[in-house]
Amino acid sequence: MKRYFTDIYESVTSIVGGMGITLVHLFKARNDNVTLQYPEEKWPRPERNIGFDHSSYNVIRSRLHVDMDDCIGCLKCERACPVDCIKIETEKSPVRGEDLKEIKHKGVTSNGTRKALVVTRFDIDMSECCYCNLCTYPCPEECIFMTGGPNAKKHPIDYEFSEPDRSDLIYRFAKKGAKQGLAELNAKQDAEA
Amino acid sequence: MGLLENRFDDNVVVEKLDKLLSWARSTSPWFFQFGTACCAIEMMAAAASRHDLMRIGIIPRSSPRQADVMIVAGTVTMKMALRVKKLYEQMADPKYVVAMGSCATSGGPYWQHGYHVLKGVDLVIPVDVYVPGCPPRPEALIEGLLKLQEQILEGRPLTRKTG
Repeated sequence: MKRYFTDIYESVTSIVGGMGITLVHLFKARNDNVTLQYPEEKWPRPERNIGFDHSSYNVIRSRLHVDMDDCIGCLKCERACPVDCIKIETEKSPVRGEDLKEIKHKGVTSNGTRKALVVTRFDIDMSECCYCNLCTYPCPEECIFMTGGPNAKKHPIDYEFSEPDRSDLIYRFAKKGAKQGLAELNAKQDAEA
Repeated sequence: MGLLENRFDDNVVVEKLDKLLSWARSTSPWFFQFGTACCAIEMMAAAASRHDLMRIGIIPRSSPRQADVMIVAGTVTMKMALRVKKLYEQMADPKYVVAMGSCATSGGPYWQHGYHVLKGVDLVIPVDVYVPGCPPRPEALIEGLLKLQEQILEGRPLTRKTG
């Protein structure tokens, strides 16, 4: 008889004790949880030690971006690309260093360089890109860069841009209708001359 | 495709069933881990406790028979392409494919001179979501999978498509 009641007592106390520990962990574990609740919160990108000051060099591996107003069409990034995922076509500007409002072309870069060429095509296929960052170093106007890092204020970091259609991964940076607009402009000038 | 796929006309019952079915499918797309290269490491990281794919209902499976989603993570060589197709065909309907990383999307660094690499896994199997990156961060993969979940949720599996 005594055995019967001690068994009941022991089972109740052990369940209460065990569940108490579970309850404590339920609230305590939230504080030292390692899991990132991804869509709601994001981690800052870890800094890579590349041997010199991190803030002045862009070593982030994210989506490439081009500021087309600063691009002079020198093709240095195209030549530097080890996988040839950058495709650029340029045409001669009718007037060097002048704005062409018809095709939204800016004549002078923010560094003060007068542009001689109009970029009619600037495609970067991000599905072929290997994110090596080699195209950003030779750029004389520093207009091609990976989003984030020193440029985070202008272009916040973007490394998750998956698409259901592959052709959406080809980013076309050139002004729309630049080629056609330039041809029309040239034809107009020829007619006047 | 399946037994029920696109066989019914539009009506009230089918519409509600449709929503229930697509909701059920979208909340538990178990994935078949097809890791062939460095992207597989990121896929493992996404499934591990730091990023924990299980909290959005995505569980790694090792057999194509038990999986709904195939994550092709890594370079697919010509020799492997036949196996990819075979494994895709072994999966039960409904099945989805996520092409993870540059190599699976378009051949990546090998797109120009790689004589042995398949230039994008979409040449052999239909792909639903392309995740860019070389390799993509685990967050990028999770974002791609969330996009796939949205896609499945929008799908109407039972309703017969008109036109």
